[in-house]
Amino acid sequence: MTAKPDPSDSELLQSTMAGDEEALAALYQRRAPGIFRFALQMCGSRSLADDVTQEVFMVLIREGHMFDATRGSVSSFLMGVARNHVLRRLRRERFYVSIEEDPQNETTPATSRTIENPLDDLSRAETIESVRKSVLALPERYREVVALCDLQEMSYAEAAEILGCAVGTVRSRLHRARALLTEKLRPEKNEEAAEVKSARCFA
Amino acid sequence: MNCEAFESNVNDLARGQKMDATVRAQALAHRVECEPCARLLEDESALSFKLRALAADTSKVAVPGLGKDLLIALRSRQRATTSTTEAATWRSRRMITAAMAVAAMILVVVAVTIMRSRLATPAAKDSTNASSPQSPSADDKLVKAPDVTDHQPSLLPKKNSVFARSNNLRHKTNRVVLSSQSIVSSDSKDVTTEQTAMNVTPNSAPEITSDFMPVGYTPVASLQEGGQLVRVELPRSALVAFGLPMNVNRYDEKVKADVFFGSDGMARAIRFVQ
Repeated sequence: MTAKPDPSDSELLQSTMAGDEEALAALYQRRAPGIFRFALQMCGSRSLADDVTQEVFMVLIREGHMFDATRGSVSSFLMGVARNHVLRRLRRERFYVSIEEDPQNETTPATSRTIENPLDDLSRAETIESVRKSVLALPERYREVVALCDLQEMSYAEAAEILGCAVGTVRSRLHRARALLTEKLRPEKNEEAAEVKSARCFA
Repeated sequence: MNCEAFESNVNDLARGQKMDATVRAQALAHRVECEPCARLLEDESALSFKLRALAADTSKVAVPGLGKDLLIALRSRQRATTSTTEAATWRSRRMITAAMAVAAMILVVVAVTIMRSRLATPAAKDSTNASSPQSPSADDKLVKAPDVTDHQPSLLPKKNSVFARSNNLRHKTNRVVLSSQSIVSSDSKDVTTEQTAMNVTPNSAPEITSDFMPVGYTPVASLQEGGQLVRVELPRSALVAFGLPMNVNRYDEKVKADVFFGSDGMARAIRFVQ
């Protein structure tokens, strides 16, 4: 007796368009984590990532009939919608400054810290935090390729499909983004070296 | 491999991406030879490690569950789709009904028209047969009576007459000749006269009339506009003016004539009555 294979994203989308709530739940369970993480890595705000995830599936419900399977996969379609929403939200909210940080809004999960080796955990958390900040400090065009290729571990072709550009463009943007990240993560060493150098000079 | 080529491939090497085995081997060999490139690869590998750590950390964040808003939106969309489909169905049904009604109306109109034409054809044949029962062989010489009520001149078919030629068909179709008799005048073979029951003075004795003769230049088109027929009396010498023979012994008598006046009040044609 063979197990029934999981339905593809397209089949789930068709069932969703026909009003099948279970299909929507299955599609959400399959694709929402990626969308949420992409939004979180792009904007650094959990509440904003929540909103974007909900909006993406709202768009899917409203305009899912416009999906054309010949132009790409459902996953790419959803990620493309997520990207558009994230960029829109970022452009809308860059004029606002949060007065108080919401503990729920923290991007660092509390569960990631253990109490077995607190020093290593602290060091690791600091590293991750610095990388996160560096990624968030990147220009949007570089941040999205890092989020897709390095953090979501997508291929160049998949990223190019989502971003709507050529594979070569993705490669060059990623190269530039990684160079910027390396520079951003390096200054601490340079500052320390500079301090030492200046100390020698004064000595 | 030189440093430039190494730099273009260092990302894929550090990220562990699929790449050409030859290029990979050359890059690793170059790393051993070139210290700056080896340092670059170390930096890139360290960055990849940090990014993986960040990705792993982010993946621990709980993803929000399927909200009720989405389910509500799906249900409302389903309702809207259903109602839209029903409306479209009703619209198409109405369109089909309307089209069928129009087609039925067209069929009825066509049927009525055909029936009328079939009924009219035998009646016309009957009337045509009734109009010339006595002398079917004398059709060529048949002279039709004037239609006084229409105020149309009786422009008779005559070989030399412009009016007769131009209005021949029209008079053939519009007139119903009740009874006619062709008489050729003894005075002139060119003048064809007729004896008709339908005359200007129906109670008087049958009259013999000549053909209508044009008075001056009369464009044919002006005759189509209709006009008025007036009975007048003229001196008998007027016959000479129109090239008709005159009995000299009766020169002092008057002769009756019908003058056809056009719609502009100008005399267009004249015929003499005996």
